[in-house]
Amino acid sequence: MRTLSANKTIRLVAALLSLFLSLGVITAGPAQAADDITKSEKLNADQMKRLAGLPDDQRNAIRDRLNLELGKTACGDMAFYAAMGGSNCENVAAKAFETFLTTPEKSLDYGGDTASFCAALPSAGAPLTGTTWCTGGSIIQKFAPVAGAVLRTAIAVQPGGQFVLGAVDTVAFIANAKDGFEKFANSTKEAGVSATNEVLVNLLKVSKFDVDEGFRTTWAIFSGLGIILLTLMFFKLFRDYSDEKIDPDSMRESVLWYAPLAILLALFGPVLGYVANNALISLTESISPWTANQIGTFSTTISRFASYESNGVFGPLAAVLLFGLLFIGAWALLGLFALAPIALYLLGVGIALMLGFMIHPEHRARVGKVGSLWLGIALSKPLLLLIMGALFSFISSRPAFQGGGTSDALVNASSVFIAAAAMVVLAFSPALLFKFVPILPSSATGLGANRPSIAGAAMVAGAGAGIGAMIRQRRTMQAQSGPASGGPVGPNGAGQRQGSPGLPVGPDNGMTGSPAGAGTGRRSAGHAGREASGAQDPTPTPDTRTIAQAQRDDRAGTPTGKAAAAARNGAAAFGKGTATATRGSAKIAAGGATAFLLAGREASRQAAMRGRQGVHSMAPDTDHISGR
Amino acid sequence: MQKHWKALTAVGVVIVAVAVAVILISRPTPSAEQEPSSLQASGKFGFPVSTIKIGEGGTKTAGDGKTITGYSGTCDSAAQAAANFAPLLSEVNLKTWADQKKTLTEVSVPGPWFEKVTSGGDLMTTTKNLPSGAFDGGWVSRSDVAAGGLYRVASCEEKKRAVVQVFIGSLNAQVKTVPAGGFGTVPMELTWDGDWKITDARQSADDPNFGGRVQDRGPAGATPGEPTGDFPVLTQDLVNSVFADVRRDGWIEYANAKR
Repeated sequence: MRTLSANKTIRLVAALLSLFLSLGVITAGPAQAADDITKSEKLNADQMKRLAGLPDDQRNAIRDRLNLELGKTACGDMAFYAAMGGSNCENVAAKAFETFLTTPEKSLDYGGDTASFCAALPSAGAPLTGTTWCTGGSIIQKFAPVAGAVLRTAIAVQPGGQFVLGAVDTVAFIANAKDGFEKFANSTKEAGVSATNEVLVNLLKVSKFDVDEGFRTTWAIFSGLGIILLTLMFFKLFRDYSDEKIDPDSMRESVLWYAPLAILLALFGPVLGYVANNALISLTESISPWTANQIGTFSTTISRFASYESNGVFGPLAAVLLFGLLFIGAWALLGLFALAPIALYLLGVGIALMLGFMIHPEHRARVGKVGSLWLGIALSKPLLLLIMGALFSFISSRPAFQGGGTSDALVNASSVFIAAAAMVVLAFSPALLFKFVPILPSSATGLGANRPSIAGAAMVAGAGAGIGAMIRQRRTMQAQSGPASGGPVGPNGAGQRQGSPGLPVGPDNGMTGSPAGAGTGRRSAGHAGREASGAQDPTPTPDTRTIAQAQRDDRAGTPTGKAAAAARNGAAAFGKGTATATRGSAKIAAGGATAFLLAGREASRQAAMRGRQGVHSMAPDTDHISGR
Repeated sequence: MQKHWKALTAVGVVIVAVAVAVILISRPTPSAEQEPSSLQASGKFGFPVSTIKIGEGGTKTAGDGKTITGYSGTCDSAAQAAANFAPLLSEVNLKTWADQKKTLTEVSVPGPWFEKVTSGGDLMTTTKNLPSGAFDGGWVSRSDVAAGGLYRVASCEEKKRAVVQVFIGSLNAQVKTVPAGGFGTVPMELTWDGDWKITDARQSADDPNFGGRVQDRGPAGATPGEPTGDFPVLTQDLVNSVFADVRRDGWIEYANAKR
């Protein structure tokens, strides 16, 4: 029951999410401000960001270089050069600039603050005439900030400079690509390396969530609806009380405590959210500089990949796979961070909508679940940043990334794999976090602590069973070619094994044991599963029809009813397991992929068995995993 | 009750969708308008254009034969005087420096400021082993008032006293390359003594407010990129960059500014 109610919440959130996204597309125009460029011919925002992410020693080297350029510009002026006494002018000027341009950003932004420069000249060792000339104001229009080609050249020659400029020059993986696949390998490599660089640099800026004016406005609307729901919930509360479904104690608790609490939360929810969010933001901010540093180091590592070329076993196929994984990992990571603010926003207003449910003892838990989910997602960001920093610093310190690198094909290939795997692991780490750091009640999400692999196993099993059922169905149809309405009778059908000893039978589906065990064989695993779950979810899962429909379309000409039934039977097998979180497209995709892997009856039979284990027992014994 | 819950949710979602859509769509887009100027902004770069011209306003010329003197004493004539005197304060030509100093004395009242303003030129003309780079017959720094073409009257009382800033373009000798263009602001205090006379000029680096008489040091900056050897031409980008950290209000364009 808990699973189903959590599932409904997820559906609601999903509906709102899609709604929000479609509205987002409409309003994206004005909201999406172009990347502001600090000044023309200077570094753009992305480049500034990359500069900020560089390690300190590289930043200092770039700063020194820029200050020297400033000194060169200043001393290029004949009058100043003469006043400074000639030859050592540039170094003295650079030294003077260094006293107040202490970061590369300041050096880049220098726009002619002659007062600081002139004041610093004496301590830098400038002759008196130079200082006098400088303070005399003669120099006022003669300082150009470092910009344009000079700036690019100055930065490009420094370590890390190429990375800052985004001019990571990707060498073609295969020098003279002969066929399409080799060209594909080349473009995969290029896309993988450049996408990873871009994504990493922009990672931290997509994930900001603020409880701001806009959120308050939206909260106001949603909590208004929430209060309407509250009044409706009162009717239900009173009816349930008169039906004696609720005892007087609960009733009193609801009316005296939870109703005022709901109103208070409607009023002060944004305030609480603001306080909590700001506490978490400051926590995050204390971590992000360190993480940004690690990201910078890691990006430098990634830039190394740009120079990899085909070598031995590290051929085009390996390149497509490994760099493709790198590409996917980078975007998945970005997606993860990008989704967090949306999730927080929507869950936040979702809480406002659900406030009314607090007064009813039956539905109260839902509000708490969504609240704890919000807190969990908000908490996950600092945790993720920590893990990310740790992982990236570990990778950057690998021997393959130190010094001049290596020409060993396997070492290089494995370094790409490590980097890609690290990002994939990070992208899916919330699932791991929820599993190993159970900060949520187990049923609040489909990723709860006690259900590690239901969805996966059930999907595999379901797809297998579905394929198996369809194969049987088709054969039987061909064999009988008759109007047998009941469908196939398959002695080897997956359903036959349903009652076999040793299979754990969950408490809520004892009924499935006897008909299956009786050996009718007609009931496929999926059918049974669906029946079992039917007790909880009276509506047949609507999205299983998608598969049925698809199969029906595929098999134009065959008796459609049977085929559809078969497909539905199979599909329903994983209905319950996947009901936790993944529905719809994920299921179809997973089912389709698995179908290729499991084409074969034996495989499907085993998979069906596993699926039933997952489906029927719901919770495999995971005490050894979670330690509880 | 499950069905009721769903129905309520559906109704809620529809209402919310409409509400959110209305809010999002009707939210006004932030407009990045600049604060309106009290004067009509009609110049190419958004500055008001006055009727007065550079190189006019007087009835006589000083001893060098080109610096205009003999002003009427109005505030407009002070702005014209400022434009006409600016080269005397900012140019340095190794060959004509002595004459320039003499002319400057003619149009000014002596004071401690004089030595400061002329120290640069003095240094250039007295330094031995001067690096090469002077152009077109001894120019170290040559100005083109019309290239900047802007002025700001910080304060003015007719036939008494005026503080004016003039934004000029200049060409400065370089040690290793052709001369480089730049822009700068020359402030000066003019006092009426039968004619407008300079009584103070050119702030020092540690006194950007010209002793509190102007609100900021005014726009300044070199043209980006490699030196070209030509007088700089003002562009919108350059205006944005030289005005990046100073205020734009009060600046007025001369009628014959180069645009």
